Amino acid sequence: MFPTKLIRIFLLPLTLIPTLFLYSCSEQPPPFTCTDSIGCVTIAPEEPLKIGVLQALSGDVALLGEAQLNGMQLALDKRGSTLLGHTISLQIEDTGCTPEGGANTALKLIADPQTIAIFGSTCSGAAATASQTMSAAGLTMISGNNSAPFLTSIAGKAAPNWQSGYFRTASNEENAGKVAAEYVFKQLGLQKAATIHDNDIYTRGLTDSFQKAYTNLGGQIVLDTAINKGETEMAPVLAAVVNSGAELLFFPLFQPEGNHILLQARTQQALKDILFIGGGALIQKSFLDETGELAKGMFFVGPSSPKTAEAAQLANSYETTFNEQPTVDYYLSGYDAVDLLFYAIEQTMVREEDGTLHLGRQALRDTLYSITDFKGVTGMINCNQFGDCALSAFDILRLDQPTSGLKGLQSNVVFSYVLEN
Amino acid sequence: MNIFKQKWNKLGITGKFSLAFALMLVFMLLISVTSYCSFLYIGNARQIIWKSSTIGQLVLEMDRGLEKARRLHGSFFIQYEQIGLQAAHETYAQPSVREIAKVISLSRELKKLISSSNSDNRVKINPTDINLYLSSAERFAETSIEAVELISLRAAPKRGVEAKLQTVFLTLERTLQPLPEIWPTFMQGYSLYKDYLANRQRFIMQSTLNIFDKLPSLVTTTTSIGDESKTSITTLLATSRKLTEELLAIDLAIKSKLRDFSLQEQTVSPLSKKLHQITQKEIKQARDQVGHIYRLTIAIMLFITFLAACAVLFIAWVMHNSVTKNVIKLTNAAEAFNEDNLNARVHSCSQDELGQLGIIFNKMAERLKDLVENLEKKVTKRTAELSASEQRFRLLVNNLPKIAVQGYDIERKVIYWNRASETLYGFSTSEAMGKRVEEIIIPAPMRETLITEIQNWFDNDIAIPASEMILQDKDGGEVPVYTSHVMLTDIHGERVIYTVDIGLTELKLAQEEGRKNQLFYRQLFSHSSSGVAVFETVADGRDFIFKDINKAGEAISKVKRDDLLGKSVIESFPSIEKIGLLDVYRQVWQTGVAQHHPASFYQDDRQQAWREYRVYKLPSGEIVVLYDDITNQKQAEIEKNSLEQRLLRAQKMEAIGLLAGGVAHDLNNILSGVVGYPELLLAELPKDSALRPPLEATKEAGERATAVVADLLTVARGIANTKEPGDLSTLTREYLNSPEFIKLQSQKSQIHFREHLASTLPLISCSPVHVKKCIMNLVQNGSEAIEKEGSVTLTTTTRIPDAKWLQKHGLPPKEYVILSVSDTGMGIQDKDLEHIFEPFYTKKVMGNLSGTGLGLSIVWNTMQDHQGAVIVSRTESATTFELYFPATREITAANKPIGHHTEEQGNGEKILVVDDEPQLRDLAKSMLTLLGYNVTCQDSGENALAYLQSQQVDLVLLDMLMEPGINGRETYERMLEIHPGQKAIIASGLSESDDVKAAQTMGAGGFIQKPYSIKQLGKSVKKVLRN
Repeated sequence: MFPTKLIRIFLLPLTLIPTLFLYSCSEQPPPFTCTDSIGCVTIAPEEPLKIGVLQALSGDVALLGEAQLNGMQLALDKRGSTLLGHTISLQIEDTGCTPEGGANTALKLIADPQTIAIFGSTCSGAAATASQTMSAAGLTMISGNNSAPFLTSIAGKAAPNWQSGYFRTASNEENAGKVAAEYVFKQLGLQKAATIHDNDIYTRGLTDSFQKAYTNLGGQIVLDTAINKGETEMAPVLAAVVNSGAELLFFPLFQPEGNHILLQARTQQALKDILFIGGGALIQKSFLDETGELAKGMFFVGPSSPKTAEAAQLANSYETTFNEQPTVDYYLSGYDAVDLLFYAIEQTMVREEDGTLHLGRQALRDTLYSITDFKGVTGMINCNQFGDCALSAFDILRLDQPTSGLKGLQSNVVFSYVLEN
Repeated sequence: MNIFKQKWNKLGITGKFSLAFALMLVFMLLISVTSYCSFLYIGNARQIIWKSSTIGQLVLEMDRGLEKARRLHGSFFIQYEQIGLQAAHETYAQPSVREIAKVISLSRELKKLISSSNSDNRVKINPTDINLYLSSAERFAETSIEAVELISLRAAPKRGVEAKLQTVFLTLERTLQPLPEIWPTFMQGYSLYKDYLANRQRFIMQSTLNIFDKLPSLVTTTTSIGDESKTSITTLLATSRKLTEELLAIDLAIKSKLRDFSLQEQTVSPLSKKLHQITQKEIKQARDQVGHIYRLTIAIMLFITFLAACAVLFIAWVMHNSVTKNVIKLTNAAEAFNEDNLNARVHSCSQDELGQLGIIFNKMAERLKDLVENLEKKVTKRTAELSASEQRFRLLVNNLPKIAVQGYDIERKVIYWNRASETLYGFSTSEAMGKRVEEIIIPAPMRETLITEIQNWFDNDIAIPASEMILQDKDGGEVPVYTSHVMLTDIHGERVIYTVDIGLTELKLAQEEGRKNQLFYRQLFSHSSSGVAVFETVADGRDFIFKDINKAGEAISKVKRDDLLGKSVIESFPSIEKIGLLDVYRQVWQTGVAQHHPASFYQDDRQQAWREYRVYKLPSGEIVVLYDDITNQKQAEIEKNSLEQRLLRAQKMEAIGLLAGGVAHDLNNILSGVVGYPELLLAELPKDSALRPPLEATKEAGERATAVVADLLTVARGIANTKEPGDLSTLTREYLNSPEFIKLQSQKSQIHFREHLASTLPLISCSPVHVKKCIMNLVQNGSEAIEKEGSVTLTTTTRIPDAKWLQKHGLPPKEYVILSVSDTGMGIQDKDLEHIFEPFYTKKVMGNLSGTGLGLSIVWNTMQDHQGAVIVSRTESATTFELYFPATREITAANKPIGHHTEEQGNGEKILVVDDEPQLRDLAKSMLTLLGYNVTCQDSGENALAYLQSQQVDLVLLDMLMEPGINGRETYERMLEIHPGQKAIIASGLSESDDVKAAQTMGAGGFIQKPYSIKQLGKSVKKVLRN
């Protein structure tokens, strides 16, 4: 210890001074100067690129979060888990699909000033709080699963929870409610509707957009109520549905609440004539497996399943990599989110000869906002000023044969809607 | 090893001590460096410990603060229902917020500390953890405040949602209780509400709402209540639904906050633990390092100390063997020697200073031994020598001439009386011995005083001072002496006084003589016609101060004696160094050898004069300078020199002139034929003759040659004897309008010719032709001196020069009209200046168009003929020739311009032509015959005289130089003897010479310069005949 310290104290300056002198005499490119309005991240040559990951990895929604992680893994595999010659370090946090979970996990990510971007989240509720924290810290966040209109735009205007630096490759489901309303009112001729949400901005956004479109079409919302996440007793709320005289129930809930609603409703005779329409969060194999035949005849509104060759190829890769079939399609938008993020980082990063990288935080956001015709597995990706990058394409699915599983459900499209950004 | 020992032995003590101390210093430095490094490193480690401790303390404080804030917050949730919201707020919520604010402050402080620590990379705490901790603390503050607000919204008395809902339900209860159709349903819903408040399960509240949703229809269908009550009940039910939904939202938010707190705790708790662990680890590591360094330092220092101790012992041993041991040897040897062991010696083996000391000691001991052994012999010898010396001294004192020595005992009796005393005072030794001093040589008036003084000396040791005294001799006569006294103790221990008297009689006489001498020399000094100055040397011979100066010196130097005394010679006469006199002073002062400083010109602000100096040194060291003013003498010499130079030049020019004249004479004789015969032939040839052109060319060539000869003759002087009044400006203008000047101007277009000619000038008596020739030569010379561009300026003016200038140039004092020709050419070098007026000198520099090399010689000669002078002056940019012509105010008949005559034709007058040159003789005859004269020729003076013995002629044309035989002057002289008043014209190739002048004085009426034209000859002949 002592000799080493001696060397450090006496000899190191003696060797460093001439080294620095020679270094200063040699021709060097001008040092990087950060001119970014919200700051820069500098990654040393041997340092990894740090990406934060916020996903719901516990509870019934964990399937959605894991699908996102799988999509990310496929995007990483595409690049050999390196970017610009640097390894990629992931800090994965579980949001629990709650706003408070989103807020607290986001804090963990922004605490590290080397974190350059966040991939997530699964649930829009968590995204609402996480994006607020992330945006204030100057980071960029991109989700492959959030679809709540509140996160980006509603009716062409910035939504209440819109945050600068937030992007998503999942479709804004503002139009999902509209599509459902048009279908039930125009196609099925149903005049009275009840809606149930769980106070999550995703479910609330869907029911709000449904109610607005439905009432505009001339329909009547006879019940607008909610349940709390984690509740299992659905009889009171189903009784309220019955009492309201509704002809259909629009309940775009997550699992397991959605499962409880359907299963308990099937036990009530008074509800046997009521049409049930769920949201995209229920277009999952687990829901179908749990509800089985009881879900027969139920409708679902959700993003259109990509039909591209790349999507099919990625599906094969998914099966090869994870040795199972995808349980939801959201891994595709998750893949696109990560791929798009990596592309934007590559385009924005300033690289020095020694491998040092400099990333302007606003520059990364600007790159993403300017993305047009990026070829994703879900189709061509174009990002608008609110961070919506996916096509607004939705299908109404009807479960006719529960035994046909998820693919059977996704293939039974009864109504489609596509809106270009 | 042996080599080392040899080198060590050869090394000096200083070297040995230096090596020893250097070695010890090395060890001291090693210990110091080790200590310094240790302290440095320990200081660093302590810094780490301090920082880690501070961080750890901060982490602990934060942890405790956060824990306390949580506890208080939890207590708020638990206690607000029991103690009331306000009290819970004050007791728990507000302290919680304060605690969390403190935690945030601590977090920021910690972040700053870690940021500064990370700069030296010593404290290994990840800033990310601190960021997260700080963010979590801030979030806890935010969410806890929001939670308290939500609780306030829910449970605040009166204004809280629960309170409002309770009021609504109580109102409904009172209103619906009398209505049995409605009351049970309401109570069922109200009961479920209370269940909800206990469990906060939403589906229970949903059941409540389901039930209350039925109430409006029941109220409507109930007939027992009025419409107003129905409306009131319906409103209350609507309010209750709204409040219920608000309560559900608040409860949902509170649940969310509680989950949030839980998540925060999950985040922060491990973080606190981690930070705490890291800081503890850092402290432990730093402490371990400090301990390690302490141990290592102690070990190293012990090792170095051990080495140093060994080195000190070794050095001590070496130094003892090398130094101390030898010192002891020396001491022992010295002690033995001191104890009379004269054989004691030192045996040293080293070669250092101690070894040398030992060798010296041994030599000294040997020497002392030798001295001691020979001391007795030497004492005896020395005693004998001393006795002899005393005897010599006694004899010396006794026989000292002029110095009288007497000895007196305490009773003033004479105990010693030398021969000089006998001589001085007249008492023999036998007469004086035993007598008291006052009885023999002290005059009566002094006796009492002297006795007292002698007694006082013996009694009180008050010595009698030396002084001059008048004592008396045996005869009572005065004896002036200089007397001095000394008291001695004799061999018996008795005190005696010896008096030494020096007779002053001779000295007084000598002083008188000296005074007389001084007076004599003072008189010499004062009345000397030469200046005499006496200087005292100061500044080690560099300067000299006036001690005295006589009256002649005052007059010569034009300065008062009192103004000079005590002054420095350099200060008073600053230029003496420049003329070299000061060096003479110094040399004389140094060598004592008198020097003569030759005549030199002294000049300063006060005076200018020529002086001559003689410098010598007095035995007393003073410097005496004798000097005379020789300014007048010098000026006379200068004038004499100037006169001599002018005379020399005149003689030189005259000699040259004679030479040129001789040449000219011969040439003229030749040219007379060349010019004359063609003229004769042309006069007789018809105008269309083919011979005319070649004859005319011959004549022109002859005339050009004549011009050259004319220059020569001008140089030979005498040509310009015919003078007429002229205006110098007019003559200059005439030259400037002449074809020669116009031609020169065209050839020298690069030269600018300027003229500044005075409009009114006094006339000068001059030969216009020669003056213009001078102008032409000067202008030509000036223009040829300019190589490229420049100017030649002609100026006329008048001036009366001062006497000094006139004297210098040998001109009489009068007014002069001056023509100056100035050019900006290359100038004249000093070596050329003395010779430029000599014929044919420096043709290249002073060349002229005529090519004769006589231009400036003509100028000089012309000015001599005009009793004027030519002065050459130069500046850096110009060379100026000034021609000084004496001005004339009178126009005499003789000076009137001669008019043009056309009466050359003769009338058969008889003319005798005498010339030794046959051609010239024939030519003259032909010309005169042509003019209508009767001409006879003779070839010599002798023949001419013979001819005249029998014949008379009206006129004789007489050549001046004829050889052999008598010349023209002598011939004419003899002619006059034969025919007094005989008219004659002297012809000569020379200009006017003394012989010509003599002939003219004798009566020869004219002079004609050879070669002459027929017209010139005709005019001269006609003129003489007419007179």
